[in-house]
Amino acid sequence: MISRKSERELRYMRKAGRIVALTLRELEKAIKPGVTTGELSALAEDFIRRQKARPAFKGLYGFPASICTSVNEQVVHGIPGSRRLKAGDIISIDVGAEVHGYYGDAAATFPVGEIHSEAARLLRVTEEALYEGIKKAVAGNRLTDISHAIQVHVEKHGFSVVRDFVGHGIGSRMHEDPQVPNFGPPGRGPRLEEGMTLAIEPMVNAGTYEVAVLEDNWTVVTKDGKLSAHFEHTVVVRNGAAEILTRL
Amino acid sequence: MGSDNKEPQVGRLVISKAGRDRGRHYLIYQVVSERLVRVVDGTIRRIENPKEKNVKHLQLRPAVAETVAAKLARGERVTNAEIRGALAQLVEKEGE
Repeated sequence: MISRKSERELRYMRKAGRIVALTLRELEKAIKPGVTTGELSALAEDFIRRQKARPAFKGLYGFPASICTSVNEQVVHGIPGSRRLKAGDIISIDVGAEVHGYYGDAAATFPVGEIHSEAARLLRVTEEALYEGIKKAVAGNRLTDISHAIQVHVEKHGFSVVRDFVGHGIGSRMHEDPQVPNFGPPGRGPRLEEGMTLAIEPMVNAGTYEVAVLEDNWTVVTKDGKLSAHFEHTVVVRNGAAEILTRL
Repeated sequence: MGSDNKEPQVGRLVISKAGRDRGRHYLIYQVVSERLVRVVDGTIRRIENPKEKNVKHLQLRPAVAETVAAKLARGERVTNAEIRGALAQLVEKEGE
């Protein structure tokens, strides 16, 4: 069942989304060579709590930290810890916040210092793919119109989209129906209706789309060890352009 | 946080999305085909009488009851009490 949110629900989701966006902005300022992923997580947790929200990932399915930090070949769900960032790394940060029982979820991949031009291109194409997807999140379209637009944009630039992890509905739970794949033919799946809330999140690999999960049971890495990027927004489907809840 | 694009597999925690049992938690007991599984909860749906569900009518959760899955994979018997225990543990771990 895909729920359509009321204006009251959307008010809470806007609040949660704004806090997620502000947190990402704070993290972006803190990302530099020498900082550890654990320090970034602590900063995020403190910031989210000061906004009177709850870091939504902590404890979700047993995840041990407040944010996901995935460096270089790590795709998603990296666990923050003692790893120190160095110049040339890229780091994907995924943030979730809960306010009054409603969720916001967003991610972005940031450069650490100066990065290789090919890495920069991966970041740019992944973010563009997210917006290509969001453009299709319009009432009347079908769900996989989003998926298809993302895949086409990514593959046009010679990269690949991860299959094993996908976007999702969001609202009074972090993961609601439907799943939002970043690949596949257009024109399939449920018809989008005004008030549906989706977390759209292309995960894009420089090489193969195949991934593996590390022994910590969380960290997803590319099978070929090449770089991966991840951009995500929580959006509301509208009759016109989608409303992006996790953008300032 | 990315949602796991999951395959039905024995031992996986699922929630019924459609039917009169909507909202109930089960474990996958048998995978009949890509689209069809048999699920159990050890109480209403016991091992001797599993419920056949269309995968489309289930929400697949990330948690898998590893001990139950391992036993079934080895062809060993699993009791309804074990199913109940494993299910309760996973549901509690899910928290919300």
